[in-house]
Amino acid sequence: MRDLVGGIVFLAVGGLTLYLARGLPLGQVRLPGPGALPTIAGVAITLLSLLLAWRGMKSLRAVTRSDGPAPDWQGYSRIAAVAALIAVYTAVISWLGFFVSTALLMTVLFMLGVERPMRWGPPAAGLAATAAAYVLFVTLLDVRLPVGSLWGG
Amino acid sequence: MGGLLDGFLTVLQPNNILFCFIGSLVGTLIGVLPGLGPTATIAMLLPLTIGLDPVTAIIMIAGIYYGASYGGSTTAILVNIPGEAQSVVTCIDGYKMAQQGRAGAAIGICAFGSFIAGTLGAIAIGLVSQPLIEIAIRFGPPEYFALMLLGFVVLLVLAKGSVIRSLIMIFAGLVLSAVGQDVVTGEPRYTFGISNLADGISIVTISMGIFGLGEVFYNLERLSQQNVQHVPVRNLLPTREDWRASAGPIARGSVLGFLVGLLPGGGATLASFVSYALEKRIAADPSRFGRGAIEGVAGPEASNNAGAAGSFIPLLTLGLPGNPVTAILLGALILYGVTPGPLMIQSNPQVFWGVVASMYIGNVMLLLINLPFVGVWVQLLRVPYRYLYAPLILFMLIGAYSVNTSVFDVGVLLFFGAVGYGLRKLDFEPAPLILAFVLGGPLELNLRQTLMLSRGSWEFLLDRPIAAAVLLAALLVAALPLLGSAKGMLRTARAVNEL
Repeated sequence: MRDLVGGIVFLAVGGLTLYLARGLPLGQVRLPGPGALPTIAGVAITLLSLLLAWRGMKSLRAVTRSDGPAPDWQGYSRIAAVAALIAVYTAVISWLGFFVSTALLMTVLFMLGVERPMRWGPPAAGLAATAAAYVLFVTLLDVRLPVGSLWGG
Repeated sequence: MGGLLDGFLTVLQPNNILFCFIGSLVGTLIGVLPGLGPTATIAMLLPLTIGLDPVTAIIMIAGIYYGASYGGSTTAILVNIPGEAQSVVTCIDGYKMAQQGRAGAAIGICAFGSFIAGTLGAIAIGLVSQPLIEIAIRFGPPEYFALMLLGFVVLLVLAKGSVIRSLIMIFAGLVLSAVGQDVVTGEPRYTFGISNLADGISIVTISMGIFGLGEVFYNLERLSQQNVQHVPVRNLLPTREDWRASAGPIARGSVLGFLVGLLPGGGATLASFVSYALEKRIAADPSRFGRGAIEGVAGPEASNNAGAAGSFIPLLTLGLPGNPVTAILLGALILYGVTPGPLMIQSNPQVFWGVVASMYIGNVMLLLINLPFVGVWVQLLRVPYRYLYAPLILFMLIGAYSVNTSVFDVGVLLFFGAVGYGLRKLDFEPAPLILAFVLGGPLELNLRQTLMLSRGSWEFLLDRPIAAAVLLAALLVAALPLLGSAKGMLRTARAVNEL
């Protein structure tokens, strides 16, 4: 099953690679252009993923039973939630600044991990982790982190 | 050896010692967690080195690497969960020793074996690098192109999983390396009009995403399923008997590991398995292996440490990484304004010899940190992952932002985190992708320069003796799977990488 899904995914990647490379000059053998490597790689990914998908189809016909444990939807939703939180963090960090947005993100991430998310533990841990990171990176290592346009940064 | 002494003088400055100590400490702290190996640990902790001067940063990374490797071995012995493939062999006899109440001896011999192998490895790098650099200085684009081709062929022949999957990963890595302005014509490729992509994707961000965040996502799936039993750890110093049994395996493992570490795609993992196989083969009573034989821990642990040292040679002398760890290190060096390769020893002698000396100092730190603090690591193993993943994510977010002081890179990190998770779920090994990503730019540039020099003639490659010899070697390696006698060996090597 993984061969088939992997084959289909990379077939799309190969197709996209070739589609996006269509405007790039290929050049000649003497002087290959910027499109030569992407085109060769795109063709190779497409052909190889077709082979992989075909192998997956063959094994799918040979084996009828499921080849892995049942999907853990709770685990998947946890991953999706964390990814969505990071996406939101990316969107607001320039506006809210490092300290506020990170404290909020850390609080929610800690809430996702504990059994009693509504108690004081997650906000305290979120604030402590943010403060520790601030001291370590900004104060000690002199790393510049966004202050936030909301606060005039 | 004068350079090596200078390297030691650099590393032994109090500031550098302090950061090496911190690196070893946090490296062990993260590496000891089940499921997190050296590659993921380095990728996650790289942000800690941002803001330091190059020599100190590299010394700290060396500390993180050795700390993570040793942390993984501790987990393998106590919990029977290898952090990365290189600790798989340690599980076999190390865990049995722990079950027999000899966890202390197993952890102790790991530390001492690694220290001895690391010492020999650092000396060997000092001896081998200079002559190699003298040859490498004569390399031009054809020789570099041929070398990279050889690297890819070896990687494929020893590849984990199917060749088709590895090839897909290599070509996907090449496509990712093409993102940004074309180095010859300046034409933008796959930038989607986004100025942040004009200089390409940072190796630091991509490795943190694929190895670090991808690993965190994968572990989030099974957040509540960890249950670590308490294993008593006492008597860490090996007895006279233990030393007698381990001296030979450590010596053989050090030499074998160093040689295997030079191979692209081999490194520490293959080194540990080769050592285990050798020790079992020459043992008076091979049936002891798998039942708690200390030789089965001492040899492979020494070997994987020497293998790690060996894998630094192609990076430092040719600028070519052979495994994901050295690929990330290459990215880090470039980030600090240092370009590894034959000229590095002249342009940045402090960094070159600092890296070599830091491997040794990193091993000393391990002896000082890991043995006295082993009780702390054991307790840390019992901390549930649900309390640890948020700070790990925070490290990576700050790291991604700090590379270019850009929020866009945090988005790139998230994208590659999802890619890393997807690859893991679909059973694609990301190592060839990262290597192809790192080597893709130089491979393309050297090929195009070669074809420009030769006016499009491939025969030009054969007119250059070094390039021709390297290409012949690539051809021979590619033909290995067709030879009957080599088939069995390759099958074993691939089975090792499969783990």
